[in-house]
Amino acid sequence: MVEAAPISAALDDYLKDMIHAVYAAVNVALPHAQDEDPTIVDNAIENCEEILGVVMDGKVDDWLN
Amino acid sequence: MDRYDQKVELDDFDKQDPEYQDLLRRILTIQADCEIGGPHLYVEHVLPNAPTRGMQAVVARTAAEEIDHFRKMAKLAGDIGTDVSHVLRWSNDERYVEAFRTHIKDWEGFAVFGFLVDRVGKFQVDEFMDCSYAPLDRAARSIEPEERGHIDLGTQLSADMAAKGGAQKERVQAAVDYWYPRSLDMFGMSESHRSERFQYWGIKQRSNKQAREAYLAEVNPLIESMGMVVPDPLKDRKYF
Repeated sequence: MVEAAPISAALDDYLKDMIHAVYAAVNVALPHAQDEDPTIVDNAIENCEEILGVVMDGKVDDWLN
Repeated sequence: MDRYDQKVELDDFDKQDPEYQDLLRRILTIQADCEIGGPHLYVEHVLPNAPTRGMQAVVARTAAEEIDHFRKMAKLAGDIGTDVSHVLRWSNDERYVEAFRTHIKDWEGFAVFGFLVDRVGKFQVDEFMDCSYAPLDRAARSIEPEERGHIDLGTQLSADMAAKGGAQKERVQAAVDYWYPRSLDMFGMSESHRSERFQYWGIKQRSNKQAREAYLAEVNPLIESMGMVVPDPLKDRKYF
């Protein structure tokens, strides 16, 4: 059987965590999107931006070390 | 045309013809690049500037879903020994597919990207459903509903903005004019030896030409129904 790429499993686990973190933040944000006080939704969106920013930076070596 | 009629599981991958293995590695790498290429287009500028907080959250969720699609393609590639993590490090101008070598900076661009380019993405994913490599078939089936959601969002946003008329409609039309030729080019050359080989090995169902024609038949009436002008399908094109 063909051998898997060495970082495949670790990268998969890392990305799953990041994706779940964004989903969690979105699930906090959406019910509060119309709130008069935007603190909750703004914080959640800030979390999304921060997590997605890490993925967009693509520093794979840092992620897996 | 003769077609390879086997259903290949991971355990049997290394027993396959070298051409089959090469084509599968190639298509998984490009698909992974396209999946991560989307968020790289719009996260930086569109997420902070979406028109409402609710839409900001929707943009974030869309990006996360596309990253998850990348993850699934990267896992399939990794399982057959192909590391595609280099595309995570790439800047936009390094992307395999030219349409992704830019940035989206406005809401109209994000909407039309979903309307037109995510639709090409779904056409691609549809090709993999019932394909000869069973793990890719299964992954495509898990991705398809989310791609449909992105298309529906983009189509609805585009229609709503076009319906407002005036300068708003002009901006959506400009985004259509930009993304339409790039969407058509994403299908590749109509006369393509590689396209034939993908079909032969059962990795894709249709030729580039057939898929592009089906796309045109679907998308042109939608553009017209929004009261916009269908761009010249030969203008600003690179691959015919």
